[in-house]
Amino acid sequence: EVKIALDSKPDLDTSGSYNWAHAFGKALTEAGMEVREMPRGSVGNESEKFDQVSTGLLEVSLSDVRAIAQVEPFIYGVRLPYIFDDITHMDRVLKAGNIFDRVNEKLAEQDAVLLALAPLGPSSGVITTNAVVRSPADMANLRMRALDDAQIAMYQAWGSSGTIVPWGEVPAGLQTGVIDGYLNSPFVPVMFGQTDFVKNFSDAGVIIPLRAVIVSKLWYDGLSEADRAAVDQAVEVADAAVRVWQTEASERGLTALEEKGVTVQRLTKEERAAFREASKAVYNSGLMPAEDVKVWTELSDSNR
Amino acid sequence: MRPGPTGGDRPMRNVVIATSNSVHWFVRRVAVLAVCLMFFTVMVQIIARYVFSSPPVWTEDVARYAMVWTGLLGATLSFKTRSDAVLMDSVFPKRPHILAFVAEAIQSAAVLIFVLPVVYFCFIGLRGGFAKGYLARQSGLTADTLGIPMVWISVSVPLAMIIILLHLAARWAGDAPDEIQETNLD
Amino acid sequence: MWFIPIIFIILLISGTAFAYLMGAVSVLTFVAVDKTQFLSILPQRIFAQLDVFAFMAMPLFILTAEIMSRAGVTRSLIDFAMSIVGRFRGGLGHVNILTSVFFAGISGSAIADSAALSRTFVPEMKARGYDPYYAGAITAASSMIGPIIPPSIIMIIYGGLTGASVAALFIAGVVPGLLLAAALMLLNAVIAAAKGHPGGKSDDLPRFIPSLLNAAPALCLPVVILGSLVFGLATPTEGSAIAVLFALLAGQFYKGLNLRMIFDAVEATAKMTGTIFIILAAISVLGYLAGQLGWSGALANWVDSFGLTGTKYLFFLVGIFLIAGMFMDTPVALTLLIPLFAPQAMEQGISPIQLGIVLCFNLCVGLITPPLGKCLVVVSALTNLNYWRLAYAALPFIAVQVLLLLSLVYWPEISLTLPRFFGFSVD
Ligand code: NA
Ligand code: NA
Repeated sequence: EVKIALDSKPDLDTSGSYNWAHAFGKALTEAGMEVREMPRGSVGNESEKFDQVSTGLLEVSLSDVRAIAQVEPFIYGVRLPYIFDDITHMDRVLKAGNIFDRVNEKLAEQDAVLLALAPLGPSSGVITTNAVVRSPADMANLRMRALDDAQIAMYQAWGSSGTIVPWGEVPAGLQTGVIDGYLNSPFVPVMFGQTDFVKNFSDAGVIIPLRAVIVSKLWYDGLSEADRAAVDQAVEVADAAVRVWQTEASERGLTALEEKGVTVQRLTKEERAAFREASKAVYNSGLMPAEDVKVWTELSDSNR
Repeated sequence: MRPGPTGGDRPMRNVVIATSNSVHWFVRRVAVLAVCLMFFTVMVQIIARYVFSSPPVWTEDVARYAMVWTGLLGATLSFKTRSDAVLMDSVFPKRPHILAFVAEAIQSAAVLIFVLPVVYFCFIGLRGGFAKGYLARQSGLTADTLGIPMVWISVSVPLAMIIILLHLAARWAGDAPDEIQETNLD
Repeated sequence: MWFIPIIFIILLISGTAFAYLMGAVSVLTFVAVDKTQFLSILPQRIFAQLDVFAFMAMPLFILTAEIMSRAGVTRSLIDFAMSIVGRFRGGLGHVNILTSVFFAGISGSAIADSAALSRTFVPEMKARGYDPYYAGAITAASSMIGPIIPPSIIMIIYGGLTGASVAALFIAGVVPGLLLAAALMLLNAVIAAAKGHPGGKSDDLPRFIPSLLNAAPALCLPVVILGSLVFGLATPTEGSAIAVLFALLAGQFYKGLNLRMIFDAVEATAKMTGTIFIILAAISVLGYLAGQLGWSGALANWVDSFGLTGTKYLFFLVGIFLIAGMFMDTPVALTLLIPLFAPQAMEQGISPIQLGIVLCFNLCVGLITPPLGKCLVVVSALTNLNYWRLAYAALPFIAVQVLLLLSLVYWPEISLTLPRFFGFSVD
């Protein structure tokens, strides 16, 4: 039995990672394997999912990228702002840099294998309660919710400020004014019912939100050759499916917001470039080792 | 209470009780420090946010880990002082009736059944023995904002469980709390 | 599988502590269903389920109450309540209830309230001609206001288990807590009129202004906590740290605190946190088992088979929790039942905040319902009153509490209006 630990509600409309998991599971089932989707939370939180993958009790997990970073921080390059223009650019970079091989070398020590990076949804934009954001300067007086110190550095580079707030406290924080906004995919305010107080979305395309598909090395290595080929094939099928979904969802995410009364700022190429330029400072803020940043930027530039 | 046979190897039993008592003495102080650490880091967080408007990222993690240490060490304090919440008082007669020992043996069995597997799997992995136990797995991971190995935080789990086992052994060696008082949680 | 229930009963009747009872039963179930290898998740499971952001507010709110009560704040609260409602017929009954309202603002626990107030109120009410059982019953019944008005330990546990906002829960508890106090006072007034209970003479009551000034530091604490939550100045955790700081300062105002008292308060806090954490740890193992074996799904199907939706489903839950409350401690019932029932309730479209208020209220009623009414036990032990006669005397109060509980289920607005007004998302 192949257990797939999900990270989101099993909703094909709004969840990119579920699209991945669904296509993957379907392909495995067709190849004659028994698949079981484990609902979000049923095998525990992020750290528990990773631990169970590494002990072989869980075969497949859709995990936070952070789960890999605690073993190999190099992966955080995928979260550098504007490192990828779009998902096809990301695919070229990952392939050219042999990123998966590099990461898997370290992950092997934890008996885990990274099989794919699945987009959670369309590219992240700036979500705010009141402020209309079309340029970094528009954010000067805002206090943004940050996920970690990397995001704080990014807001500071934009001339704004960030404060770390756990996701559970975000709705209250937005309503009480502890924070003025956060960075996420356009589906998120709709999914979490925040459109009563979230009023603006700026399509800044900062990062592609990603989930790491991690599998147990014990399970993967223990598969028969035919089964492993089936799994590899299923990864390709799922990767392709989620990319088709993402293209279609990009515009739908924005109109879904508009239907809920959220103003969407569709930024021009030049306006996005202003954010991109301001973000450069983050690259050298010392959060990632300089040589890692160099690897990522060179790969990114040479594969545009 | 003093379960177990009277007489016999008194010195050995005294050693167990004395060890349990000194560990308890020490843990009380560490637990107090953990609560204080929690209080001070949260205060730092507030001050940093409002006075310097630059929140350090590590405060939340330090406070949370201090809470985990507080709770797990607190669990040993609760066990040692027999303050754990009980659903139902024992229906068996009180000491020195022989059935009282049966009840105490059953209670101890429950503690062992729960705690021993936890301790075992802290050190031994499903596959790969010592090298793949929980602590070994954790030592390969790094706490996000602190940059220290996770194992320094997660080691609280086996430590608390082993201390509980020690206090259990002391119970059978004849350790009696000064006064039994249940902790009130609700 | 068949022997698991038998082992459960054997452990239960031997007086095994709840945490180890549940832990042992869970471990044995893993073995019984041939999932022994999954026991290797135990250490990680325990750590992960305790390493929860929402729980952080718990130790520091416990510490606040420990410091405040050591500083001798109780007397000033009683005096102040006396100066307001002491003169009415059944005055001491009213004072008893109002003191619990004030006490609720510094303590998140009903047991702490009954323990602190029963030794004062029961003898005093008896001396003034009240039936001691009536005095004990009203003390136990009004102590339930403690965990409903913020801060509240059980609401923090609920928030940690469900992911509901603790700040919103705290604010949502204010109106039901005050309504509870009002309902109990109304009942007390009716009974006082029927039985001719005495009222205090206004000349021997404490004067309003001096007693207000004396009680002010303790009365300010809930205002500080709630204010910082309402205006988004602090998270509940930060609020709890501010509360500790405040208690340390206020303590100087009362009897004064020395280092010994502070150490004792902190140690008691660690121990109490530990008592709760070991239960959470054991229950988390059971929760994992439920996920692996698909129990939650089975339970959901079972509940679905009744065809209950929305509010009807909540009434059904209230029934289950009332029965559970009769036999279990509040946090024990909470940790055991919330992970099983809360997800379905939320799928039914019930607000997690309303659900939290209803279920916490619900389980608190269990504190004065026999056979196991923890507050009745405390009052009975501290005042040497017969437990069953005390339970009998509590019946009218239980009736009022159940009526209010049903109103909370039927009218979600009672709980949700205030948090909505302050901009909290309650859906
Ligand atoms: Na309270
Ligand atoms: Na009272």
